Amino acid sequence: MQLRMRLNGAALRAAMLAFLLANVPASWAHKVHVFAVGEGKSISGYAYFSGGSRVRRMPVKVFTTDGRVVGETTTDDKGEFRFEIPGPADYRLVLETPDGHRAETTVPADDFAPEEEDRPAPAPPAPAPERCLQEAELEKVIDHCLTRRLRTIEERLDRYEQKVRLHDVIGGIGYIFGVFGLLALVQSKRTRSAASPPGE
Amino acid sequence: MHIAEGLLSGTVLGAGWAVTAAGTAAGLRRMTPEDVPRTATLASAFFVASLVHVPLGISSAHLILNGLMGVILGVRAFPAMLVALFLQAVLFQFGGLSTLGVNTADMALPAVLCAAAMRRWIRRASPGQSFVPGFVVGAASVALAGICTASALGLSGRDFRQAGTLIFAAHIPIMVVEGLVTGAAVVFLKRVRPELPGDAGDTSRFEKEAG
Repeated sequence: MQLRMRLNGAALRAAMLAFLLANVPASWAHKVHVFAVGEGKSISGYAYFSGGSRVRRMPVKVFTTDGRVVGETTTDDKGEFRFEIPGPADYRLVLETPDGHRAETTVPADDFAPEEEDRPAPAPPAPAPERCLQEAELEKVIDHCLTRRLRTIEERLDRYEQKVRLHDVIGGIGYIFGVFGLLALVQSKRTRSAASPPGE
Repeated sequence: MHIAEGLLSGTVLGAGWAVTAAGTAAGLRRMTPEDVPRTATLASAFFVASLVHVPLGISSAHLILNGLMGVILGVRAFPAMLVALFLQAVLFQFGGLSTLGVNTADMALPAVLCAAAMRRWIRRASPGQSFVPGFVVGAASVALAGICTASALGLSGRDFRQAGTLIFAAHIPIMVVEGLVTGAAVVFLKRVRPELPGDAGDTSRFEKEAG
C-alpha cells in the first residue's frame, strides 16, 4: 500500500516534469533581446522576448562605447525603433523595461556609411561621368542591397544564439539532482556519525 | 521574478542575499535525506516552469510554482529555488548572478509565508475542503512575489508604480492558474500523503514517528 502511494506520487511528479519538458521546444526562456543594425546615418532594430513576441513602447538608450549618452528612442507598437546617429562610430544600445528586464547590443562603426552627402537614387550609368563618382554611387547601391540581405541572416543568427536548447534544460535538471544528491549524502553521513542511542 | 543584472542598488542586493542566506540555512538544516528526491523534483519543475512563457499584452509571464513549493517543501523551498535560479542564470542568462539573492528571496519568501499562514487550515481540512487554502497559497504567492519584485525595483530608484502595474497585470492569469494547480495538488496530496502539505520541515516529527 505504501509502495503504491509512493509510486503514485512519483508518477505524478514524472508526468508533471514530462509535460513541462514537452513545452520547452515550443516556448522559451524569459529574457528580452535587442536586435539592431546600422545603415547609412541611422540605427534601426527591434526588441523582442525570447518567445518571439515584440517588446512594445519601451525605451531604448543609445551610448557610445565609453559610456556617454547619445540619445534615447522608444519602440513602437511593432517593437521597432529607429535612431539617427551623429556620425559613424561604435554604439551600444540598452533596453530596460520597468519590470526588471534588460538587454544590450552593440552596433559596430563598420555598419554605417562613411560621411558623405545623402544617397542619391541609383541611376543608370550616364554617358560621360567622372569615373570616381560612378564608383561611389555603385558602392552605395551595393552596400544598401547587401545590408538588406544580410539583415535577415543577422536576425536569424541572433535568434539562434538566444534559443534555449533542450539539452541545456536536461543538463540543468541533472545538476539539480546531483546537488541535492550530494546534499543527501552529506546529511546521511552526519546523522549516522551523530547517531543517538536507542530509546531516544 | 527574474531581475536582470545592473538594475538594482547595492543595498537592495545585499538585503536580498541576507534573506536568501537565512532562508537557505534554515531550509538545509531541516532537510532529511528522505526529503531530497521531493526537493530535487520540485526544484526541477520550478526550473523548467519558468521556461514556459506566455506573452500577455506588452509584457510576458511564466509559471512560477512557488506556492506549490511552499506548501510541499516549507522553508526548504529556499535552497531548492536558489539552485534552480542559479542554473537558469548560468545556462540561460535568465536573471543575473548578483541579483540571485533578490530573485530567490522575492519568490521563496512569499511562498513560505503564505504556506505557513495556511498550514493549519490545510492540516485540519478534509481533502476536498483543502482546495480553497491551496488556491489561496498558489495565487497569493504569485501576487506577493510580484509586489516584492516591484518593491526591489522601486527601492533601487525605479518607478515602483509602473513596475508594479506591469508585473501585476501580466500575472493575473498566472495567479489564477497557479491557484488552481496548487489547490488541486493539495487536494491530491491530502488524499495520498496526508502529512505532506502540513509539514513545515520540522524533522522532529519524523523522528517521533520513527521512534
